[in-house]
Order: sequence, then structure tokens, then C-alpha cells
Amino acid sequence: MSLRSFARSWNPFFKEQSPLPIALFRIIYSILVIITLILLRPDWLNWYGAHAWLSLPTALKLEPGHRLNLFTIIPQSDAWIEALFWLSLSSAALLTVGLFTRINSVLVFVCLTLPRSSERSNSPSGVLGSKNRPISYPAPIATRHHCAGMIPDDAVACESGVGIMSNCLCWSGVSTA
Amino acid sequence: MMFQPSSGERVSSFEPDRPRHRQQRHGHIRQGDPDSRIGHTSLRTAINVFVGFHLLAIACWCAPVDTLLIPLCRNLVRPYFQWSGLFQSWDMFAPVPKGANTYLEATLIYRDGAREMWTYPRMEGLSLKEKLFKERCRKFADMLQRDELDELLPDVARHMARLNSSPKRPVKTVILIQRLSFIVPRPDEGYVPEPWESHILLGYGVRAEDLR
Repeated sequence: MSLRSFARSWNPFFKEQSPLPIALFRIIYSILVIITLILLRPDWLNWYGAHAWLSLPTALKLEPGHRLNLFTIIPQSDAWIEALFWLSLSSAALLTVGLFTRINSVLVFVCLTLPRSSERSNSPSGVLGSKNRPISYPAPIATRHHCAGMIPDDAVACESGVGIMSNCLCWSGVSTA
Repeated sequence: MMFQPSSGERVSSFEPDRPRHRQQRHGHIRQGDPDSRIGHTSLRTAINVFVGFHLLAIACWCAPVDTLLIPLCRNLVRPYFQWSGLFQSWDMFAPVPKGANTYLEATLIYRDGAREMWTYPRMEGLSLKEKLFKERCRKFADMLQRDELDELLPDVARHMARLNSSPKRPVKTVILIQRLSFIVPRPDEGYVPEPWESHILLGYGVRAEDLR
């Protein structure tokens, strides 16, 4: 294959072609987006709401760097996040039927880049209990440790993390009672 | 790049060499206007670069090999891929498939002293329809069990507390537990699940503001 023939075959974008394949692609693509959104719908606020599984600060911390992220732009309220759902769905629907396809293709792409969740919290409770330093309660009182045993029965009676931690090996790695 | 259309070949509005009456009718190229020709050539070049770059970058990102150039290419395009959300991994089943059955539970301790066990959605316990809707839960559960993502756990504990609290009966403590059973290969090439083990991922004391 000569360079010229390669270049010629490379450039289908600049020749008149049947629009059917790209239209079919657009329709299938946007239908898949719609299906994804419908499947997400029951748990939309659980994933993306103001009090979701994952907070926006944590998401930004775990995935640093510049991102195309609508949640950093819109106010962190369930109403706005619901509106974002309907914007995504309507854009995908318009893309499917071929109405305003240029702007809707961009909108659908941007909406697809939503992060996993969003929440704004001023609570500093992301600090985990340290291995050798008891922390006051209420706060995270233990973190990942191998646990051969179970939760101590007196955990509910304890009024401080210290009490809980001192009763079970698996809680803190601190000495046991 | 300019190409002469062969005889009988149809040409598009981008084509500088299309018949002049069509160019004038569509207003894309003014006759004898060198600036327009340069503009169209630049546009074509830009589109080619855009498409070519994405083909190459996505191929490098998804290629299941780690030769010298592929990781280099991935590192080069990583900032752009992260910004645009184009990153995608395809290593669900390879090279190292999961070697354990796992699921998550939470022990919820209420202010009144009651305890309840709350199980995070498990795919094996759901109907086909429920699996479709809860697939994201499986992915999220897999993430929660990775050591490097421990920072997710307090958010999850807070959310569980909110889901299970009422004003009269708030959750006081959330204890996230990972249940784990390793899948051990046997000499006869079969696999046998080990007994279930428990790992405490996090104990979280719920604050009043967490429930607002």
C-alpha cells in the first residue's frame, strides 16, 4: 500500500458517505446511555446526591487532578443533582431521535463524565482512629484490622472509643483487657 | 492534504476541489480565496490529528501488554484521559481474577442499645432484574475492600447510618465488616472455598451532624 493510497483510505471523513452507519451508531450509543440512566434512577441520589455513599471531597481526594466534573460547578443540593439527571436523560433522548444532535452529543458526553458521587461535608470525621492513640467518642473508633473474633458485646455500653478498643484485639491492635 | 477526486467520485463540502457551482451554492469556499483553502486544510489536518491521537491513545491505554512504549504512552495521556473521563480498564478477569468470595456487612448499634445486622446488596442474592439495577453496588463493594481506598469507609458508614436512622432511633455506631472466603485451587484443578473469615474494616461513631 502506498502512502498516497493509505492517506486516501484514511480520509473517509472528507468524502460524501451514507449517513446511515453514523446515525445508527448515534442511536445505539444514546440508547445505551438512556438504559444506563434508567438503571441508575432508583439509586441516583444514593450515588450522586448531597448525602451519597461517597462524598465529593473524598472523591476529589482519591482522584486528584483536573477533571471535567459538573458536580464541582453546580450547587450541592439534591434538587440540582436531580436536575442533572433529567438534563442527561433529555439530552440522550434528543440525541436518539436526532434533534439538535451536535449540542446534545456534547451534553451527553459531559454528563457521562459525572464522578461517582457528591457530598459536601464540613465534618472532619475522615480522621481514622490511630493504632496507638485512643480517640474520643463519637468519632471513627477503629479501622481495618484482621479480626478473628467478633464485635465485643459491651461495645454498646461503652461511652468512649477507649472502652471499646480495650476490649477486643481486633479493634485497634492496642493491648486487650 | 489535498486529494484529487477520481472521475465520478462524489466529493463533500469540505473538498476544496469540488465543482465550483456547488461550492458557491453552499457558500463553503469562495472562488479563488486562498485563505479559505488554507482554513479548510487546517481544519482537515486538525480533525485528522484529533482522530489519530484518540485512536492511538485509546489503543495504548487498553492494550493488555506492558512493553516499554505502552506504559510511557499511558503516562503521557493519563492527565488528558483523567480530565475527559476516557480511561477504562478491561482487567476484570485477567491477568489475576479474584481469588476470594467476599461481601460486606454492617453491625448497626442504635442509641437505645439495639443491634441490627445490615447486609450490603449481594449479587448472588438478587433476581436478574435487581442485579441489573444494583450492578454498581458490586463494583463499589469491590472498591471498598481495597486497602488503598480506606478513605472511602467513613463516608460509607455515614451513609449507612443515615439510611437506617430515624429521629427517634438514631444509629450510634456503625461497624463495617468484610466477610471473606478464599477460593483455593486443589491438586485436581478444581477449586474449593475456604471457611468464611471476618475482617473489621471500620468502626465509626456517628455524629449528630452526620444524620442531618
